[in-house]
Amino acid sequence: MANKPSVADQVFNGLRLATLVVLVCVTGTLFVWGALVVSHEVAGSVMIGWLALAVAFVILLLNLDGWAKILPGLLALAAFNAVLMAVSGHIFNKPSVLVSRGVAFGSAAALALAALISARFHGKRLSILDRIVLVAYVGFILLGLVSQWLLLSFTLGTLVLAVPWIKSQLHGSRPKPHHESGY
Amino acid sequence: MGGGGGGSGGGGFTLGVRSPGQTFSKCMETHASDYSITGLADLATKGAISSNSTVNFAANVFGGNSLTGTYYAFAGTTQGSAYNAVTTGAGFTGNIIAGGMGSTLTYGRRTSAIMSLNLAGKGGLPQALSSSSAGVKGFFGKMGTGALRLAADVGFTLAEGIGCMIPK
Repeated sequence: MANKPSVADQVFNGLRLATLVVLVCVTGTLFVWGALVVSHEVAGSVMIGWLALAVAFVILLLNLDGWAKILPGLLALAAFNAVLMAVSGHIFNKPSVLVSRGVAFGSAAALALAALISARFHGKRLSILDRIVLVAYVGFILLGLVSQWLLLSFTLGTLVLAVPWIKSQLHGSRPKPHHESGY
Repeated sequence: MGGGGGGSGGGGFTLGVRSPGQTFSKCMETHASDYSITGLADLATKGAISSNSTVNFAANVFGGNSLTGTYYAFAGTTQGSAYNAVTTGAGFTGNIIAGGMGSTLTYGRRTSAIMSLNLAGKGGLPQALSSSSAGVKGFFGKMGTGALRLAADVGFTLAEGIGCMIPK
């Protein structure tokens, strides 16, 4: 039987979790703000925009294993949010800002597929190709933000995420099952 | 932005965001978009996110408050959007259910009611009830981090609730 974690352990785990959540939020904000500034979508120093992007990429690269672990859940919830916006026809909690239902449903489909594909990164030792693909996926999302071709970038990003899976299928190497089949 | 938590309404610091004479539910609806990861990021970037429709959509997809978003998409009072969402959602769900019926549970089994769908050598319980549910369980385990994101949304919603309980 596993030992019951002490109160100190629980507090430490809680603080660690809160720090991770804040880190994800800060990294996401740096990515989006940096990309918008660099592409002159919003006012600001281009140099600071590049700096924000660089810092965000360094944080991403240093925490790529954790990023791979949280990606399926984030994408699944993102797909759910996209479906909600497609159904309501407007941005979350802002009925005055309308969204294209086609783009929202398309994004939901691409994100749901990406969530399914990215589940294979969960609990797996990431290869160099996996790491490149995960960073490229973030790059595609940012490209979609600044180019306004969001649906295309979500779709291309999903295809890029599928590259390691396609490669493993072509090479015929299947991942080891986590449990016995029971037969 | 409609002003986040902690505004100073002339008489010093207050956590309250509810305007004088505003009801609690109206306050919750007004500030729902501010209390989310996206709302926070928008505040931090001085409106850079909400000023661009594509970025606003993408940011809300990844960082919108799913709890208040779901509630106000289906039960909101503004501009008849709730009725719109319910009718669209009902049609969408109906199509999914109609498409799923008779395929997921019967395809690829010897016991299918439609003989042309039967496959030799397979049988037993329907897939939805068999040992494949272990795989489904594993899949949802991998999606568990979505719950962490939802936990953040719960925190934002609670903060909004507290803010709306205190008048400015």
